Amino acid sequence: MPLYRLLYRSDVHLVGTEAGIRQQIAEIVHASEIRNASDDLTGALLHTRGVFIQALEGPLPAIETTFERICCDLRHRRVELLEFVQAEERVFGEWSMAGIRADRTIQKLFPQLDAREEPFLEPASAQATIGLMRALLLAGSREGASPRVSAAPAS
Amino acid sequence: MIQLYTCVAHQHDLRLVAVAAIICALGTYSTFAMGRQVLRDGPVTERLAWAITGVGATSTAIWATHFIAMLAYEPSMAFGFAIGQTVASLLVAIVLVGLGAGIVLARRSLAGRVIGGGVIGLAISAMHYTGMNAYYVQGTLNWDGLTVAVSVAVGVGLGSLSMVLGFSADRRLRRLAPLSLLGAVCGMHFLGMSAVTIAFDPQVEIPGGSLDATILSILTANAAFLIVGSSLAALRLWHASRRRNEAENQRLRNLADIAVEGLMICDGDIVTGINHSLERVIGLPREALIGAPLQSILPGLSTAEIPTEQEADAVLQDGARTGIPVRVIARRTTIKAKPHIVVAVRDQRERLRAEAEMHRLAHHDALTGLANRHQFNQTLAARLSSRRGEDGTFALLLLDLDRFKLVNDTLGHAMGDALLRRVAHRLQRALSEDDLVARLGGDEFAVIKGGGTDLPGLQALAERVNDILARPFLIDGHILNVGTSIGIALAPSDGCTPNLLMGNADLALYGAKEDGRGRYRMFEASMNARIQARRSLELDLRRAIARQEFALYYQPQVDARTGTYDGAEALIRWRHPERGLVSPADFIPLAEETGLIGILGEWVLRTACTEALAWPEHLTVAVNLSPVQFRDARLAATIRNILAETGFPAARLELEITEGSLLQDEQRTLSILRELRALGIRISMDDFGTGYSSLSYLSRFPFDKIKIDQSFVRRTPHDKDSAAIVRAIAMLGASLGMKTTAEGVETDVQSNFIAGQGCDQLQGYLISRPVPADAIADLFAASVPRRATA
Repeated sequence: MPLYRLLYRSDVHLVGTEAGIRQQIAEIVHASEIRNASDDLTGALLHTRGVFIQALEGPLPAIETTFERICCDLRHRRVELLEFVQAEERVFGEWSMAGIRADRTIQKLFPQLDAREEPFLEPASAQATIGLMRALLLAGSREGASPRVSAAPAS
Repeated sequence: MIQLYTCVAHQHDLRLVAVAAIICALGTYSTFAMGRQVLRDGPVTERLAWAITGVGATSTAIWATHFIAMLAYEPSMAFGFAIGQTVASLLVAIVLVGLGAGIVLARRSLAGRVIGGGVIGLAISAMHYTGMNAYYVQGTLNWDGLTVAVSVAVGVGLGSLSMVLGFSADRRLRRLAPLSLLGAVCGMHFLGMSAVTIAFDPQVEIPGGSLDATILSILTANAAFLIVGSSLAALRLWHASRRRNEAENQRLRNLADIAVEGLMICDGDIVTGINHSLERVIGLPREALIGAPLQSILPGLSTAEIPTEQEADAVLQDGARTGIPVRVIARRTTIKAKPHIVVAVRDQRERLRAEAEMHRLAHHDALTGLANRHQFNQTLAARLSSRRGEDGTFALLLLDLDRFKLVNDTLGHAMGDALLRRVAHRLQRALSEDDLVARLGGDEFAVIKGGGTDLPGLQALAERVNDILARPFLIDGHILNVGTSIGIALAPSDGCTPNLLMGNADLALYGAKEDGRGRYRMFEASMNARIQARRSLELDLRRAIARQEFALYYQPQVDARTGTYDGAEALIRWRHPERGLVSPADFIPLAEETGLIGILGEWVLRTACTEALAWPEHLTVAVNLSPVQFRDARLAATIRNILAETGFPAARLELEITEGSLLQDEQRTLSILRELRALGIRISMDDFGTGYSSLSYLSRFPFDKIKIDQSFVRRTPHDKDSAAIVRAIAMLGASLGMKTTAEGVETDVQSNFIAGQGCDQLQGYLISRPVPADAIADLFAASVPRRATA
């Protein structure tokens, strides 16, 4: 079955204190970890400055069902698809869903957080974002889990 | 024992003993056969009749056994019987057997059986010794008291035993009961006989009037056989009829069981019968239901309350104590001479399910499962007519998907349907359960929002709906972006009738679409006037096409160097019967929005091609195409047909397009343009320089001509920037091999400057205003001889 990858951004629409929101996001990541594992999906969810960027990869039907569920979720707003392509291989093969928290220096690396006029990124930019997300994961920015040392896909 | 053996073997005629034994055996058999009938369920009278018959048969048999056995006794001397005492002995037997049987039947316990059986045993002894009193013999009877006592004890003991055995739970033991009773009768008799010795005494006289032994024996034997035999025959007949009855009952039960309806037979309020159907509905076996009160099945009902004329609704309680909706009706009937009530129970679940399903189908949209227009109208009317403030105050939201038609047209109806289902689902997610969401048809949805009309809440809701439907839909690998526009009207302030409220919500929706789609608008009173004016213009526009109120004007284009005519641009004019001449700027956007541009554009093309045929053959006609026309995939084919119809050469037609045509769907537009180009038609880029990235388009399609927008031309040559732009465009055109035309040339200074920059063509008031078709034809005709003579 062909492999697809999807990247979207959205505004976080959660209510609570900073710690409370972080807790809610951790729960979202945990719930999708479980669900994705059974749907053969992998991916990562980055949140920073009130924005989510999520990558999702796997077979088309599972991607479509999961993305529809994401689009029915009122815990975020202004969902915009940044990339939806057929992919050669998984970028986030090790994680059914990895939460990434970006610190202030890393935030600067994500220009599309503000680029609201261009919903569809240039392919190169989406690639760069995905690459950056993976690099962050490998560098130990994974939230709620100890960083992995090895970069080998856990297949 | 030896005494007994001697008595039977030597003092009796064994043949008669056998007869006595047979009668006795038949008698004791009938005792138990009939006793069983008495113990069976049945009418009391019937049971009583069997009890009397049984007592009669038993006592007769005992009595007959005794007398036949007495006849078998051979005392070797003359003997006879006293009539009175013989009869008395029979009565003693009947009375005591009846008493014994009564005790057995009245006291259904072991003690009752032992005592009752004992009394029957006693009856045998009493009968025997009374009978012996009637026995006259020519001698004296000497009794051995001990043997007499033993004989009575044997009779009583075996009598008790027979009754105990007769009621035993073990079938084999029950079979021994008649034998035990037979033993009691025979044992008692022969022991009794062995207790007596007769001493011949010739002085004893047999009293006169005694019966002759032989006659008595024949009479007794016959009578006994008759009574016992007819009793047994009656029993047989009764058994047969009972079997018939049972077969009949079984047949009725079978009939009742194959009935679809549940049937229940009640004796008063006690259930005495139930059919399979009802067993299934209740989910309990028949055995668990029979004998139960009716109220355990139909709580709160008694048979007297169940109507006999018309079915009544009731609730049946099943085995799991769940209420099942049923209808019941009762019929009075007589079963075994007793009045009973038959209750027919009809399960209503299937019918109610079917009704609910029909109701659902009638009130819901089959595709999305949302409420349909019918249900929506009902709810809307109900809410508006509600007298309570809470219900009568609400918001009505009308939704229309912004790009649904495009999805349906390009990806097919199946995709459109899948999209609508997802839209419906997302709508439900964005709304609360109190809100009624309906699909009114196509891509139109409506929401009746419950819970008042507070503005912030309403705005939050509208924003939520706008947001959730603006998110992409991924279906079968396609990314669909549809979005929705929402119009909101408040009840009752914006309308207190369904029509008015719907109309105003629709106006608000119209406003939202005008604002640029993907938005919501609340109804405002001012919308009405403005939109009404628009509506009336739209109506007029539709009529104008039919009434041919349109005309084409032509503005000539000249060669910038020689000043000779190259052709003219066709421009549409609307001569409104009341408004006069209406500007294209006022009605073209409306025609584009309403889709009327398709028909209008076709009319312009056909008219221009027809009218330009009258011009000299080297002159071209330029026609403008709206971006909206490019949405029609048949555009190229339509134009080819018009050329074929009118006979106008493709090489003399110029089509002017704006950047807008390329903005919406570049690939589609470019492919249509290539097709047109292949026909020989020339393509011009109109209003060049005003768009965002005009330059980039020049590299994507080899236009024949660039028309410099009149805003630059008018400012030349005094405005340096405009002059520079005009110069740059002229140079660009020259280098790309495209002609350049300057529009809006009004003065000689402009004309000279522009011609000096290398522009190829001029168009504007300096040359001519747009003129009607006959005027331009005259103008061109006049120029030809001049050109010919030049």
